[in-house]
Amino acid sequence: MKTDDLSPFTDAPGVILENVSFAFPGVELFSSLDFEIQGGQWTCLLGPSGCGKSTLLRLISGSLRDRFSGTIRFDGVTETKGRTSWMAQKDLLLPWLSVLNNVLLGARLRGEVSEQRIKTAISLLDAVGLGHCADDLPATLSGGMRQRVALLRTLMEARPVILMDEPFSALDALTRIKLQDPYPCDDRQSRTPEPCDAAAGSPAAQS
Amino acid sequence: MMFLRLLVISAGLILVWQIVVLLTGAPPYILPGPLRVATALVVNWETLLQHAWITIVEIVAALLIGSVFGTASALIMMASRSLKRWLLPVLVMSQAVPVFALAPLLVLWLGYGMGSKITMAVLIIFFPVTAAFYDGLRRTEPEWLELSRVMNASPTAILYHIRIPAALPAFASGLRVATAVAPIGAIVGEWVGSNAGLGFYMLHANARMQTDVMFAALGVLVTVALVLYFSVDWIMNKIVYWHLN
Repeated sequence: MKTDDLSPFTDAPGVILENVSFAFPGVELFSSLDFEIQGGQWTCLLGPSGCGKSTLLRLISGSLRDRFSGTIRFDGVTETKGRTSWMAQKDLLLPWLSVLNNVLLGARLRGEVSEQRIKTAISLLDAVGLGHCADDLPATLSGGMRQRVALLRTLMEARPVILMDEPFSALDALTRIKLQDPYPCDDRQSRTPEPCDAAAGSPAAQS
Repeated sequence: MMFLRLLVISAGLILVWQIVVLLTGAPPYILPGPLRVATALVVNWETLLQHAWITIVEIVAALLIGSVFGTASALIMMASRSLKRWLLPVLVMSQAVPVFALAPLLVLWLGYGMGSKITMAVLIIFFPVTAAFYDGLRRTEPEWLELSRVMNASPTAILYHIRIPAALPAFASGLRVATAVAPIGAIVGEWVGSNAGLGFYMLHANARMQTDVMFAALGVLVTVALVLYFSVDWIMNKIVYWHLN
């Protein structure tokens, strides 16, 4: 598969958390948390439900900025904004956009849609067997197809750090195994990710 | 199917109406029978159409203006929390004052023409549109917003690409309610002071004991209201095409 336009793992930085504390109102989730994730590899976070795996991914993604104390940086760079892409447990496809436009969501939001990006998105859709659904609405797709579209949307961002929050947990075992095959980054990896974790260059959460 | 049901309901109501007329033996100036009303409808068809046209223009204009006001109010309240604090009491107050009580004042200020009727209908319409659209804008799926922020989207892009489309089904519901109540504003306005429109024509017929003409005008008004409602419903279903899936 051609993924020249996407280079998520080139110079993937390590993620460093120093003295990170975070609390929801009345509930302290992390206190003085320190840890480091190596760049350019898959890392899987395991833990029971409610221990804070998803929140940790959100902290790294930058969406909970200003609500934690401590430092989160990528190998020396404190600004994490614009360097991560995030795939949630739910596919979060926008029901009013076609499959193709959902894959191009990031570019649409930033006003960066170009012929090249559209071509890349179409070739990725073809690669995962969804080329014929490019103009369809997400409501017409099955759960497994929707997750594949969400995965492509995540990879289209071409960010050095990819955060995946139990992306395939809502799927049945057979679909999960099928989703491994079209994983568009296999050529960069020494192994295909386990269906449960699926994270690139950085952490994924799995309970 | 919907129209077939409507037809069956109408036929049923006409039948009940005819039975009541027969059983009570009410004189035509109190309760005219369906046939007498149908005759009045045919005889006065042109006049009825002229007045209906005035009422239709008033309702459609009010729907357009009310929707624009409603949409703008919702967007302003969404954009600025401090503006919302100022605007919300005004909105609630505008609904606390009975619009019917304002009708004579509006006629006094805006005259016997369409202006006062359109204003009446706008006052009724814009609140459901504002309330529904604002509610829709506020209830955007939080994870869509989170995803957009991780994608580096600006607040304007999030509003345009995420919040507004996500709120369109709620806006459509508000507009449907507004369309159903819009004729009330126009007709009340016409009753209070006008020289044209179905409300004026009904009052005119009432003063002359032409009860059959009144019923005919009422029939035309109901038809106009239904056609408007189903047209708006159809347009909204086209705009919010994904919501039907």
